[in-house]
Amino acid sequence: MRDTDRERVSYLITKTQGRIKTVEDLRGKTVAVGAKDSPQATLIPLGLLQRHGLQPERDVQVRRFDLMVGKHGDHIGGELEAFKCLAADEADASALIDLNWQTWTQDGTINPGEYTILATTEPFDHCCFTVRADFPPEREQPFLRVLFSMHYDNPKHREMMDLEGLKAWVPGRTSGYGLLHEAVEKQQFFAGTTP
Amino acid sequence: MERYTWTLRVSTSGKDRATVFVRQHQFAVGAPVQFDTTYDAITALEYVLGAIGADVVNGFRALARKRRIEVDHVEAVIQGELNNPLTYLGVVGESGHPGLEQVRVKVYVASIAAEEEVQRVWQEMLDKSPMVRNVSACHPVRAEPAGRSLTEGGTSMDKPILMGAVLYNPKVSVIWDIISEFFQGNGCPIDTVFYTNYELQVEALLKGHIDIAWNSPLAWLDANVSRAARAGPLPCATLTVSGCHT
Repeated sequence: MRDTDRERVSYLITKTQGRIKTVEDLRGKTVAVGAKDSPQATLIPLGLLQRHGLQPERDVQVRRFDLMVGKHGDHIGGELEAFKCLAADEADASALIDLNWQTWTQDGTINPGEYTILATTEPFDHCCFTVRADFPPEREQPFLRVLFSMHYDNPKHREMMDLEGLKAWVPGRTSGYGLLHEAVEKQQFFAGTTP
Repeated sequence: MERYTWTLRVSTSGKDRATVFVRQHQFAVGAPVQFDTTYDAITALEYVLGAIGADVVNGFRALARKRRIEVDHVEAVIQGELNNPLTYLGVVGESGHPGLEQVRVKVYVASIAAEEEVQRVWQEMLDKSPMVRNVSACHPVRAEPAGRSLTEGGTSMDKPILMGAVLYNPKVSVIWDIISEFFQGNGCPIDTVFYTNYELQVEALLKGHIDIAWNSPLAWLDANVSRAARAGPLPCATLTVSGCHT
C-alpha cells in the first residue's frame, strides 16, 4: 500500500457560524455524504454517527450523493457534491476524507474560515494490493522488490509517485480495516440494505 | 464515372509509431488514442479531428474566394468525443464502443462581408466538405486483414503478472502505463486489466483471472470477509494483502 493509504481519517464538517457544535446536535438534522459505497465519505462517517448513538435515517437524515457507484468513492465527485449541499444550507454537515479537506482548503474550494471540523473518525487504512493466498511467492517477490525499489528521492520515480499520490510504498497490512468492517456490519452493507 | 482512389502506405516505425507515406510526403502518427496530455506524438484520433478542422477552414476560405467574399482569417476549434473511451482501454464491464460519438466544430471568421453572405458560403462549404460529410454520415470503416504477416513466432518473455485496477477516468490509465513501464524496465513485467467496478475485479481475482488487484478497502472486505462468509458461487480463495508477509 501507499504511505498515504495508512492512518487516514474522515471529517464531518459544518458551518462555523451554524448551530451545530457537537455530533449530538445533528439529531433530527441532515448530513450530506458521498456515494453509498464510499468508505471515506459515507460508510465510515455514518459509522461515527452510530458510535455516537445516532442511527442514520432514524435519528439523522442522510443526503447521499451516489456518483459512480461501484467505484467505492475513488473519485471526488460524491464528496464534492456533499460539500456543495452543506454550502447551499441543504445539509447541516457533510463528510469528506482528510486529504480532500487539505486540498480543498488550499485550492479555494472550501473557505477554511467558514467551515469547521465537527468530528474526526478513528484512523483507517485505504487501498491495498490484494493477492490470492496461493499466488506463488516466486512471482510475488519480484513484484514487491520492484515496488519497494521506487524512491521519491529519485527524480525518475517522482513523477510516477506524485501521480499515484505517495512518497513511499509500505508493506501492506489488514489491521487498518477494522473501522470499515464495523461500519459495514452495523449498516448491513453487504446484506443489500443500504444505509 | 471513373472511380478515383487515393492510396497511402502506412508502416510501423518504432514502439507506437507509424509513418504514413503519401505521394512525395510522409508524416508520423502515434497511438490510436492517448489520454496523457504530455504524450509526445500526434495520435490517429487527433489527425482525424485535425483533418476535419483543416477541411473546414481551408474549404471555407477557398469557397469564399470563389464567391468573392473577402475573408481575413478563419479559425476552427474542434472537439471530439468517443462513445465510451473506457472501451478503448478494454475496461471489463463497460458498454458502448470506442468510435467517435460527437464532433463539435466552432469556426471563427474575420470578414467585413455581411453575416448572411458568410452563412451562405458556410452552408455551401458544409455540403461540399468530404470530411464533414464523412463524419456526419458515419460511414462504417471496413477493416479486413490482407495478406500474410511478415514475421511469425513470438519472443520468449516472462509471463507478466496480471494486475487488476478499477478505472473511473481514462486519465488513470496513464498512471498505470507509467507503472507498467517501470516494472517492465526492472525485469518484472505486469499487464494491467481494467474493470469498471470493484465487484467485477474481486470476482476476477477470486477466479484467478488476475494475479493482483489494486483494491479499495471496501473491495478488500468484500473479497475477504463477506464473500467467504456468504460462500456464494465463487471459489472462496483465501486472499492476503501483498507485502503483508514479507
